[in-house]
Amino acid sequence: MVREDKTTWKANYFLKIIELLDEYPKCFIVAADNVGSSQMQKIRISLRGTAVVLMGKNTMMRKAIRGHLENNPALEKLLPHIKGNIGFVFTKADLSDVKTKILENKVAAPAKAGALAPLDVVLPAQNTGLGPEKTSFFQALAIPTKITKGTIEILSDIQLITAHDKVGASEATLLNMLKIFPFSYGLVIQQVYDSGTVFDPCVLDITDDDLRSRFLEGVANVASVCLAIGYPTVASVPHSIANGFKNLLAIAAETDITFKEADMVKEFLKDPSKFVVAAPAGGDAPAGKKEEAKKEEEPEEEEDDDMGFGLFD
Amino acid sequence: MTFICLLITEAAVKLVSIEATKLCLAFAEPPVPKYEVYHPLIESIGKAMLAMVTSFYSLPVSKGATLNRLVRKNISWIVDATITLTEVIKASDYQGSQQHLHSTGTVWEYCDQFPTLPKDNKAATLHIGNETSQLVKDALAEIQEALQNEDGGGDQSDVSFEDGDDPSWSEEEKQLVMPSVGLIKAANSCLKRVLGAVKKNGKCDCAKDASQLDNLVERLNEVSPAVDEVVLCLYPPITKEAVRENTEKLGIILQNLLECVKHIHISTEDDASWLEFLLKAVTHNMDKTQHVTS
Repeated sequence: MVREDKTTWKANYFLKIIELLDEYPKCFIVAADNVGSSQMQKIRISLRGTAVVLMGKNTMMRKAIRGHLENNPALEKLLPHIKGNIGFVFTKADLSDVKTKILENKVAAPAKAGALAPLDVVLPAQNTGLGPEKTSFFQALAIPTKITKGTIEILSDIQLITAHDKVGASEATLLNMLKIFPFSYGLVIQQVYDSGTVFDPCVLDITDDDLRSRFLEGVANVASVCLAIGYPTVASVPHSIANGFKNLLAIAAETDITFKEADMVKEFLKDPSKFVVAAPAGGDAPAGKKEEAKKEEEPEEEEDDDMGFGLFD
Repeated sequence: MTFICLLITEAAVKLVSIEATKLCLAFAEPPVPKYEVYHPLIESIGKAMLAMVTSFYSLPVSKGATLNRLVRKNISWIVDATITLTEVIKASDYQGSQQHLHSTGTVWEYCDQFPTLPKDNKAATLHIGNETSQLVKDALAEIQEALQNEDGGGDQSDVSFEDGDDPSWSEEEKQLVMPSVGLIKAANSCLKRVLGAVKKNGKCDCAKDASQLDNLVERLNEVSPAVDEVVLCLYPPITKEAVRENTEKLGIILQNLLECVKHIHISTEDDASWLEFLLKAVTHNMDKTQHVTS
């Protein structure tokens, strides 16, 4: 009896995936790490009428998709993304609306020892309500405390956990004692499928401003080429005029020739100390440069040359 | 030659991205632009796509079919995404919408991905091999986790089998599962070693070497579907016939893969020992599964 039920269930699961792939033109691939069964149930309920959540074994999903490629070759794009603890959220509704609903469903969770922290955790200055016998927990983490009316009081805000670091056992115990659930977990959207195209979820956040800035990137390219080859266009003329004006200022600075716009430059060169108040405005520049340098360094850290030659690990 | 072709295609792809941006911006909000404004835009995007496809066709096939297929696939995605963009603009009656932005973003994403694609057949082989390797690792982790959960060692807070219980095996069934998992582990090790050999010794400068890598990719592509089939037949209820059939199929695929590696330029004398070892491991696991399923 059980045998038949499971066999039927397996067959029905394939049918279910295929039906959903045929019926719904859009879906999200979501990561379900740290999402418990009860939270998943709540997510299903909140999406009822808008979207259908399908979790399951990745091997089954891949097999169902491979078997359906003849009818819908575009599904091939999904295959490389079906790995890890993932599921599908199928929908016909507006992708941005469904995305918002998916991301709204988060549940506060305690910090477990050994788990990677998704964010910084700051322990605020407070009276903990804990008795003096617990002082050792705070001392172990070098948290300054004092005893006020028979209870432990934290004297200042302390950064207890740094984002992306592993949560230590002492930190986890202390947070649990204080009944602080610092993390929140929910489904994390990894990829979006829409009528044959698969894209990053950040595409759903694109605004008109992004569109304009992309356009201006193109304009800047046109201007650069035009300036380099000396071919004036609407894109390059403002830069040509600005460059010409800079040349005039340079001549004025080096000679006795002057004009109204050059007066300030001349005055600055004569006595720069008059303009010292302008200095703090430039103070941010090094920080900006540092940030840029940091950004440039990041890709190198991502490189992973470990081929791992161990057999049968 | 291949590199130059790809550089030219890359430039054309960038052009498509820019033209898509212009098109979306022109129809971002009412009023609908005049014919004199939008017609050149449509013409420009058409020309950019033509330039992209034409430059792709100048990519020499003799330098590797794997690279060629990968580039063609990405070019076709860009073409599809651009067609979708124009259709979305048309469907929205030429009024701006969030959908315009999504479609434009998709064109951008595919265009931005293009420069990150492999630049030669060796890199393309590694790209496909790594994708396969990740899926095989995932399948292995899935069955191992299921076995672990059954023993009560798994994280029970995670989402379990859809609409069903986590699988549980009888002692008799476990006798079938273990050697099959051994074969999947062997598949994982094969991929690790083969990709290591490609990385170390792979060449694609001449047509012969490139073609050998293409043959290898054909065999690599068979591994993940076969591994998935084995894992699936290991979930209860298990039928001996299915396990025998699927493990035999996977075993033959792995033997063919290793035989292929033996006879192409990526294996040197130093590689002979691990090739023999893996061949023995595959045969051993196959024999074991055949024995327990007979």
